[in-house]
Amino acid sequence: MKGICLVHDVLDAQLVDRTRQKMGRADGLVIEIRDGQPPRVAAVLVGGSILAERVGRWMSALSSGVLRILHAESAVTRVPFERVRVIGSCVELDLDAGTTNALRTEKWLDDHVVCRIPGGAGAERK
Amino acid sequence: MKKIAEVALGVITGIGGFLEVGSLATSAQGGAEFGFQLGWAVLLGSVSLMVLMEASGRLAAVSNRTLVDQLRERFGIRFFLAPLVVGLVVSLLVLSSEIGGVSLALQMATGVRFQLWALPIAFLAWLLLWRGTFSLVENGAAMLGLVSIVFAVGAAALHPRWTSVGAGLLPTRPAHDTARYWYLAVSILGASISPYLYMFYSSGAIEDGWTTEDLWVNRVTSALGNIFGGGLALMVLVVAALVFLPRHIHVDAYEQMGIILTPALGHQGFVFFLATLGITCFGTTLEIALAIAYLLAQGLGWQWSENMRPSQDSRFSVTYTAVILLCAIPILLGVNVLGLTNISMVLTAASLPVTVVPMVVLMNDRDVMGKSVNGLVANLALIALAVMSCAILLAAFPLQLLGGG
Repeated sequence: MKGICLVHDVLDAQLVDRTRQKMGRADGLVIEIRDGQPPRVAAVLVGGSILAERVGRWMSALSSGVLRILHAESAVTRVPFERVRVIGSCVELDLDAGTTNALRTEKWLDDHVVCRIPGGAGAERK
Repeated sequence: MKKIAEVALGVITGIGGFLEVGSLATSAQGGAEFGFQLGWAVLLGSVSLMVLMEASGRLAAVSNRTLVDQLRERFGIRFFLAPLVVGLVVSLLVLSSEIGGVSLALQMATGVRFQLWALPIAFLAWLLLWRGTFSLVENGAAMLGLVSIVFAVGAAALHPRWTSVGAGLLPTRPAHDTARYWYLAVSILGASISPYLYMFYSSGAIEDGWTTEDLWVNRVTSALGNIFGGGLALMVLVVAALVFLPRHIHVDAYEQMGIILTPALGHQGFVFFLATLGITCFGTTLEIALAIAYLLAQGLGWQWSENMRPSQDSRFSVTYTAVILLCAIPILLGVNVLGLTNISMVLTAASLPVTVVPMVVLMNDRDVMGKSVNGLVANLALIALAVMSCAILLAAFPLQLLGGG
């Protein structure tokens, strides 16, 4: 069985859903510590606040401050590790990105900005 | 046949895409103040960009990942923050300078103040990105940019002593104003080796769907494009040396550059200069706005492609929309465009280590590059560039203080 190196192969990797839609990067990983059993990789996290925590306390404080000013909440998407299908140049997940929080900003901008500008809407390529 | 067309297009992109506000300004300043003596800086800048473009194109073709993807994935977020922030700051300054370049060209053509052109130019650039495809941006800008060949015509018409031009390709110590000489050398290098150029190039390789079969296209494109493009920047320096130096004209504002081609080509020279300044800066405006959106989208894992409808990659599309608008503001407020250009070029030169040093690691990583890892020559060139970029970083800020005035 070929092993994977979590930090090398998964952390910071591009995440794509089952239709190859890009849905962010693996900003964090959750390792579950279980009594009497080996630790287990429980989930992949996607979200700006997770990324900010990894950069350092100052970035985390800055990110929370900005969210407070904007009256916004940090959206963290937690993808169970069982959903990971392929670990290669991208990490492919067995889910539909549209059903998660990962594309919340993308959708908000689409609905409130892009679709209101002529030429913005449409699912086909240019 | 299709591949040959691709190479031809790549070379045209090199020729038409190389000259922009930074190269025009710094080469003209170099020629006006030191004659042909700074020709070596143009040559070194072109060869360096050739090495970096070839490497970033090969990286993308082999790994199917852009340089920015690899910087985040292989070095992690804490390291990636440096190229992200530095790349954003520098590219925003250069984008503002480019919008300023187009605005000044239109001011010189129409007499209407350049501040008033900032928003219409920003709108037109945004519209082309919003509605256009990657090949429209890349090839359209490059084709129109071929107008910059007029500098080669101008140089030939002035009959320079080519042996003296050739002698300038070897570095020599200046007879006067040492700090200014090295400041201009660093500015010329910064104008030639902009990180946005090779980041844009590696994103373009993914947009165009390059694979390992395109490695020779990449090699020929990066080599010939930069030879011709660098050659044109050298011609700007030659023309400035022959026109400005004997008349003791220092280039302190773009308006002074308006007459650079007049002694060689008469009134048509003025028209061609304006066309070159306006068109090349406009093409670069499109490319840098995209490069900034690529940097953010790839770094944070968003959906991105200039070939998609904005609705399919709304964060990417809103990013280039916002940065074009943001960068038009300083021009709207009447900032000194040449001053902004000079500061941008020195900062660009100083920003090189954060992308060049990790490239040495990436290009030697068999997990990423497979059989296409760097050979001895490519490694020596890349390591020399990494060392040079660190030396430039140390020298850039003292030189800005001593020679930037």
